[in-house]
Parts: sequence; structure tokens; C-alpha cells
Amino acid sequence: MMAYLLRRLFWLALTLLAVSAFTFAIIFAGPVDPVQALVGPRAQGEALAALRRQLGLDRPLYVQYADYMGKLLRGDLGYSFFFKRPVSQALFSRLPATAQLAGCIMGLSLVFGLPMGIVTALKRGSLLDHSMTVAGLVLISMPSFFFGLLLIYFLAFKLNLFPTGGYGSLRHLILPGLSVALPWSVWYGTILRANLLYVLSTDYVRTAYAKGLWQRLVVFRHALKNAMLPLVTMLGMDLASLLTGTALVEYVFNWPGIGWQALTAAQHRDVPMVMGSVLFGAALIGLANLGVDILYSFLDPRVRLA
Amino acid sequence: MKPAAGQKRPTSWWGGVWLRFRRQKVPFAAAIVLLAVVFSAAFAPLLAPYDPAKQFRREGLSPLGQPLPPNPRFLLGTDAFGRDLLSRLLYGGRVSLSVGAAASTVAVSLGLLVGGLSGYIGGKVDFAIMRFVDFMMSVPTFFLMTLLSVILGRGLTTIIFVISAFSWAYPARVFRGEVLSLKQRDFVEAARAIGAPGRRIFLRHILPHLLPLTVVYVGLSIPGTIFAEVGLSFVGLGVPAPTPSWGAMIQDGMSYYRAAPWIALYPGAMIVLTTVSLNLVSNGLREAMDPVRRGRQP
Repeated sequence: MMAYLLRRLFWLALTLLAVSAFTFAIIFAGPVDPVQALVGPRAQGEALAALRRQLGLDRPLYVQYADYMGKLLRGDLGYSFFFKRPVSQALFSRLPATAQLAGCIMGLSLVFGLPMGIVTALKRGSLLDHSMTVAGLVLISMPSFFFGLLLIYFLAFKLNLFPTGGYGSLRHLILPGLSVALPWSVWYGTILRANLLYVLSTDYVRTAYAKGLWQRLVVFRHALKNAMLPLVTMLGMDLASLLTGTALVEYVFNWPGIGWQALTAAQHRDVPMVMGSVLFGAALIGLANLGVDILYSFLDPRVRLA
Repeated sequence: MKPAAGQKRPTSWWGGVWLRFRRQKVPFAAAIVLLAVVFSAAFAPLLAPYDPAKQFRREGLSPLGQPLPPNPRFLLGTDAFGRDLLSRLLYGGRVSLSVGAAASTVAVSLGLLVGGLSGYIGGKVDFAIMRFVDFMMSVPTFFLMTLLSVILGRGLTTIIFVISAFSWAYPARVFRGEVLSLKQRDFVEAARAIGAPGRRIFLRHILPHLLPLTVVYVGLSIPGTIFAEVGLSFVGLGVPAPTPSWGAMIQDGMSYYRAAPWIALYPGAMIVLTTVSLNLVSNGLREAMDPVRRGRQP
């Protein structure tokens, strides 16, 4: 277990090193002048040269890289031009909002997805089953930010049930949560339905029925547990993607999370902030994946971490 | 085996695929819808009533300066600059569809090459390539796309490059798995036994078997690449204005959703229409290409 943990952390460190080298390469050694990218195409001449000296970009590339890595190891990700504060500080201050949204999305997609999967598996071929297939197709074919806009228009503006955006209360959390969670819940429901149908056809379930157990007992005690396992794996992978994948939804709802911050920074050419978000995001995804794998080994005794 | 009475005998493999595809009602209907969308975008210059960037400051806005709802002159209404929405919708499809198609083709081909070779060569090369694929799958993709479009500047080629650079990893993994199972098949064994060189086996015996999967995966991955383009345009990191794109149109409509909800609704509806039909067509194609799987649960 300890060796496994160490090896995973080593891979994570390697991943982060690669990501940082990559961002350094495209910015400082790429085809585009970073100073020009920073100030826009209009600035030229002496102003550019002065800024380049000020940022230390006139030094040789290896000196810049050493400098960049040295600062990175000390947790210094640079200074955000737009938000006017150190990048690392800005990132950590936005983490709670993103974590809340991710948790809400996970919770809501399970609350809707699990019953949907169970009911459609038991009532296979029913009207409900078919309508879930159609609804799922439409929801999955819609960009989440557009679905979010529809929710804002109908539920917040027309019916006035929720605020149109912003941060603070539970009511603010519902709409951005739903705009990702509803499509996901249909997706989880579909997966659970398929798994459950398979498990219900296995011998041990037939045995349970043959013993004369009630359907409810068979489904919830015997079948569901095994049908859920692949779902847990998916959940883990999705949780990792949630930490950086809801940027557009955060943007639509003015939800001040990491994604909103990165996009706002990008619109103002705030390169250090976007770079920091990339690195921070990679670290979060790596840690979330690791956490889920460890959790999974507790849930399923057949999985051995090696 | 004799074909059933009244059934045309397929002339080729693709002929058989076409026959089986045509018999599926929903995917076939979706294919017609998809074709209509593609044609409307391709022939936008002929179909669009106005120049999509032309601002009708007087006729295209209400006396209060508000966008107009659908009317006889502007069939789908106008946006906040008095531009004709129908023309913008037709032209906007060109950007979203061509970026989606190009990025998916590049990404899936790259995935085919990388994953296919990785699985075929095996050993240490396979290990190294697959760790790289793992790496690509564990980076914050949308953040990186954002960063790249800030750095590289905005433009059609940049967008296609940026999106395809982060979309090939998953297909690579799928193709690797396929190659691993193909390698075990008898005809590959036979080719090896008669002394065919490795390169020939890969190109002539393995790649052709991956072709159906490649076509299906390009189709299935286009919704994702369209979403990426639409998302980047939506936050202003796509193809620069005034070139219309569906994502940028939704962004335009977002600030007017109370007074003029139709501005964002049309492009959104077009995106949904396109991706729904793409998903249906791709799944129909998969069924048609793999008759053994037909009727089974996916």
C-alpha cells in the first residue's frame, strides 16, 4: 500500500513536471512573443523592450526556465495582472466555490440518476424507459452552458424560482448544479440500467428469486450492489474532470470558481493566471484520481492496489 | 448464403453497409437532417439574404434600439447590432461544422496512428506511449485549450490545432485495444507465417480492419469538438468577430436574453440538432458496419 502510494505520487509529480515544462515551452519558447501576447498586437518598439526587461524575458532561455522552476517549487506561480494578487493565492481562494459546485453536481446526478436507472431497468420497454432514452440523447447533445442558459431563462427569469447567477446561498447553487447534473444523471441512469439488466440475468439472482425472496429484496440487497461498482469507477473519473470541467457553467452563472477565474483571466490576456490554473488543475485532477482509486480498493475487495 | 427474396444483393462491403444503414429508420432520417444542416452551411453565401456582418442600424433595430423579433424582412429577427440572424446562423454553421469535422478527423487519425502503432509494436514503446496517453488524459483539457488560444492568437487554424491536440488520447486508447485483439487473429498469424514484413502486415492487414471504427469514431467525436469550438467562441476565444459562429452568437444573445431570447435560442437549437443527428447517424453506422452486433445491447 505504501509503495503503491509512493509510486502514484511519483507519477503525479512527473505529470506536473511535464505540464509545467509544456506551459513554459509554449509561452517562452513557442512561436509567439509572450510580451506581445500579453499587451496585445498594438504595442511596439521601446515599450515592448522595456516590459521584456522588466519581466526578465531578455535573459537566456535556460536561465528563465531555472528561475521559473525555482519559483514553482516554492509555490510561487507568479502575479495575476488582472486580479491584482499572487496567482497561488487567487487559486486557493476560488477552490471552495468550485468544490461546492462539484459536490452539488455529484450529489444531484446520483439523486436523479440512481432511481432512473433502477426504474427503467425494472420497467424495460415502458414509456418511461423510452422517454429517458430520448431525453438523454437531447441532454447529452447540448453544451452544458447552453442548457444553463435555458435554465436561467425559464426557471430564474420566467418563473423567478432561483437567482440568475452569483454566489452565496444554496439557492445560487441549484441551477449551475442542475445544468451539469441533469445530463449526467441520464448518463448514469443509462449505465446503471445496462449493468442492472446484466446482473439480474445472472445465476445468483435467479437463485435469490428461486428461494422465494421478494423482488424488492433481490434488487436492492443482491443485484444493486454489484451493478453499482462500474458506476463508482465512472464517478471517480468524472469527479476529477469536474474540478476543471465546469468552467463554462461557472462563467454563465457568474460562479466565482477556478474555471470562471481562468476564463476571465484568459479574456484579459492574463497569462500567469491561466498558466497557474492549468498547473493547479492538473494537480487537482491527479489527487482526485488517486483518492478515488484508494477509495475503490476499500469498496471492492477484489481490487488490489499494486 | 443466398440473399432473401426481394432484397438487393450488396455489390461491395460499403454497399452492404449502405443497405443496412438505409433500413434503420431513425438514423436514416437523422442523416437527412444532418445533410440539410451541412448544405445550409456550405451554401450559406447563396442562401443567406444579407451579409452576416452588415449592421442595419436603422431598419434592423426597434425605435428604442432593441433587436427585432422575427419579421418578414428579417425572417429570424436581428441581434443587438441590427444584423440579420438568419444570415449569421447560416454562416455561423460554417465555422462550427468545419472546425468540428477537421479537428475530429485530425484527432481520430492521430489516435489511429499513435494507438495503432503502440498496440502493434508493443513492449517498451507501447508502455511509453500509453503513459503519454495517460498523461494527456489527466490534464485539464479546457484550461489548456484556453491557454493555447490566448498565446497563439485567434483564428481558424489555431482553433482546429488546439482542439485536435487535446482530443486524440481517448481514440488512441480505443484503437490500441482493437489492434491488440486483431494481432491475435488467424489471418495476421498467417501473414506472419508466410514471411510478410511487419510494416506490410500493419498497413495491409491491420489498418483496413480499423477503418469502420475510424469512421464511427470521427462521427462520434465531432459533437465533442463542436462543443469545444462553441465553448471557446462563447467566451470570446474562438474565431474573431465579426465572423459569426454559433458559440459567439450565443454569447451575443446572453446579454439580451430577457428582451430577445431568440438570439441565443437559434444557434443553441442548431447545435443540438447537429449533435443529436450526428450521434444517431454514428450509432446507425456502427450497427450497419457490424452486423453481428445488431440487435444486441450496446
